[in-house]
Amino acid sequence: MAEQKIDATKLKHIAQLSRIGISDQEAEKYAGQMNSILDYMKILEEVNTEGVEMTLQVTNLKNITRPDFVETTVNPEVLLATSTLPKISGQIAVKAVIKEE
Amino acid sequence: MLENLTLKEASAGIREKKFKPSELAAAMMDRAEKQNADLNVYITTTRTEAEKLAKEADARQEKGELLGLLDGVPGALKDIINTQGVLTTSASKILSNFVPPYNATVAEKLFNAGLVLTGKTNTDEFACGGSTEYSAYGPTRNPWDFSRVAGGSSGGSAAAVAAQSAYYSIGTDTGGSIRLPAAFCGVSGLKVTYGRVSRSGVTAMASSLDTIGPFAKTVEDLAMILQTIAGSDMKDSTTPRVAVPDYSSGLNSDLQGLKIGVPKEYFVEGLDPEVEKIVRAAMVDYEKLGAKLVPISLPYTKYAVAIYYIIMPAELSANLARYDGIRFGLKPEGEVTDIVEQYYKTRDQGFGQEVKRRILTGNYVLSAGYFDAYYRKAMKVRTLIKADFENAFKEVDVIMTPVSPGVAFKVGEKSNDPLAMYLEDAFTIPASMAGIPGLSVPCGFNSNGLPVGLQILAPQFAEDLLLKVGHQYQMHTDWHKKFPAL
Repeated sequence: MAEQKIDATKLKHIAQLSRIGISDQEAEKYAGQMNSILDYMKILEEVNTEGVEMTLQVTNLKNITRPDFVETTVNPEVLLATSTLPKISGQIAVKAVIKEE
Repeated sequence: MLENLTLKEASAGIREKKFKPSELAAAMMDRAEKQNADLNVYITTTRTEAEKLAKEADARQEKGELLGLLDGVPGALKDIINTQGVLTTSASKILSNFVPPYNATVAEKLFNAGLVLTGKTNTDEFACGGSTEYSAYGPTRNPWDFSRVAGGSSGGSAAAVAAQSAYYSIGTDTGGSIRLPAAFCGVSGLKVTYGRVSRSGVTAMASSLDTIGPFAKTVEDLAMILQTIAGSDMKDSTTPRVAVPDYSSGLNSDLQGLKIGVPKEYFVEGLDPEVEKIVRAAMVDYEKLGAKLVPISLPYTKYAVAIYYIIMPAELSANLARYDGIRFGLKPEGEVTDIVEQYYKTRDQGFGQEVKRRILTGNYVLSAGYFDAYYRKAMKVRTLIKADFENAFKEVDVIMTPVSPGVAFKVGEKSNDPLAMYLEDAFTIPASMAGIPGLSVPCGFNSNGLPVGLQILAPQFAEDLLLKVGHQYQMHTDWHKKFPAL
């Protein structure tokens, strides 16, 4: 199993990819906790899994399909009301996605 | 006293016009509101809704047009189950303002059956935890001892039944989140087979593991609730078209010749000796009822916690990516200039520490270079754990184990040690990995007066067998009839 320890820098990178802004103090704390959790995972090295298939789901489901028809009409106003952001012409207005360089 | 009734007794009383649904609702709401300062069972109590729903049930009772056995009986829903027009926070700050525009399928089915909603119960944030201490709205206290946890993540749902502010409740179980709090609070709780109950409209945690199930005072009551909520749903493609049997009709057949597997891997160091003694005594009771105890081995048991804390965070990190504060949820404090900054701030301010820890772990184990070592490996070990159970069920009908290694622990005792908290689930996680159903029934009290739970496991979709096995025990014992004086 991968031996690399997680430090605060590595943890902040994972947080960035997870879109969570965290403080340096939190990064230190979580890095330590994650290392002890990942250390515990080493127990799995004992298990020989050669030739064993992965279990992705447990009830042997195959593709599930249904007829394509409209069942309920949801009022867009009701859906938009759950957002705290401004609405423009029935759409949610967000901050700039692309910045000017 | 109205609060002492079981669901079945409350239902019969409504039918026989001994009391009105609105009387039950008033009694439950008084208790729920009064107790909440000490116990923090509910994130939201719903007196207005309960009064309205009860009044409608009163009218049906008057006209003799009751909808079914659950009609007019007050019950509670875990706060990760969407309820139209009623705040649903998932115990997170990030959804502190979220009022769902629709009902979850399980809520819809129960409202259609006449549920009188007492409130939305507390849970660990996004169901991430084993004690309900990781709720953004404070921990739920154990009704038997306020200094202790109720278990989790469905701690509020279990405590509502134990504190008798609801005749039944609904929770969710991903790695033990129904069975553990049921044991800690001394009530009956059922984790169903993966896919037996629709999850549409219930906040997703780990999609290959999440299940929904009931808590009640008796196993007989659980059967009545499961009858209403089980079945396939077009809105949840993981609900197979497996017929829903009549769960109540078989409860009274005897256990003569039942083969009970007793796995040695669940009676190991770390198991509280008092808990072991109580659980073994329950198994002796089963022998007296005609069952036979068979020693078995589930050799991969000890790897279950490790793979759970790989698979679950991996799936959770993907499911929780949707909480970005755009379509719903928190408006972050402070100015933001672009959308990425908005994501950072919303998710930093909105998520609690355990949820952040799990998202970070999940994204780490899924990242390039680590995927094979962690995720792929875990999914293979999962196959071996599932095979453990399949092999065992060739020899035995059900398996019995303790629900947890100990009784309810003190609030704060484990909340800063994630690994210690994770190990609380060591006996409940394996069944989740195999997708099989598990029942938790009260089977005694330790010397401090804290409840102990017996876990009964059965093959997939054998809930009817589990319920029979649990009910027969309750016909011959009184542990389930004990409630804390509140």
